[in-house]
Amino acid sequence: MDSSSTTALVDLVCRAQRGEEAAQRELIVSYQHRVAGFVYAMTGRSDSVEDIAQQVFIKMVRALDRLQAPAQFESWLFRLARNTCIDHLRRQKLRRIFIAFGPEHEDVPEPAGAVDTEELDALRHALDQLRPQDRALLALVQEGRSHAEIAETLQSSVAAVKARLHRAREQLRQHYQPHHES
Amino acid sequence: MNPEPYVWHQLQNHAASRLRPGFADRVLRVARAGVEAAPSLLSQFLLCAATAAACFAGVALFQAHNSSIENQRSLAAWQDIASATSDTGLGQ
Repeated sequence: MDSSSTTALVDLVCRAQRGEEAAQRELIVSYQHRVAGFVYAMTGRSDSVEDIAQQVFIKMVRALDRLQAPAQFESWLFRLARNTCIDHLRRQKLRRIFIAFGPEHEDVPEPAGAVDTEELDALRHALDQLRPQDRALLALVQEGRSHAEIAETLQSSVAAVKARLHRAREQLRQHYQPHHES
Repeated sequence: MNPEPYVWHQLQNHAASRLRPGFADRVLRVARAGVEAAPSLLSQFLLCAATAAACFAGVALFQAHNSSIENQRSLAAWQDIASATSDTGLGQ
């Protein structure tokens, strides 16, 4: 991101922090597709993308005035998205413990027409084999975030991010088989 | 093999297509409604205090009612004993 677009973003965030609805709407519109992609990579379910993305942006609107550094907005937003996805996955896991679903209710396939191509299906399947933290890492890299920005988003060190990223890529490579999927 | 970048783009496009039109407006409406409808800390505290007071009053009333019935029963039993005692002249 160049300095003029950074300045524009900071200005937009500051206006949104003051409660300007137009600025808040602009922020949502600017980031909704990226956040939706991130949520899909994290959860692997396209039918919950809108719900979770909505939760992320509601949290964003409500907590925006507590953001100290508007320049860090993107890292902060993706941290919100990551935490919301992890909460969602944790709740799902708990629900499986307390509500005894039969095996036929587990791993319900994506609705018809939900998956476009073999490659996308394979990527979704491969991501599903990874830990949520690793999925977040890979999704952030695809977002074009630098190691430093990812470290800030995940509240970790750059060295740890590099090591984890190497492992996550290795695991993704092992599970990604686009031409062997049915 | 690793997924090509275009597969990641497909993933993002597919996810973006799941957002219905008017997404931003819906988010803002829900966020505002939530802020307006969200109870304040004071009102939550008052509700907790009122609930606790109502529970305490319920327990106290129940206890008083039970004690009163128990007292009446004991008194009646003692009266029976007293009258039986006076009838047999053991009380003198």
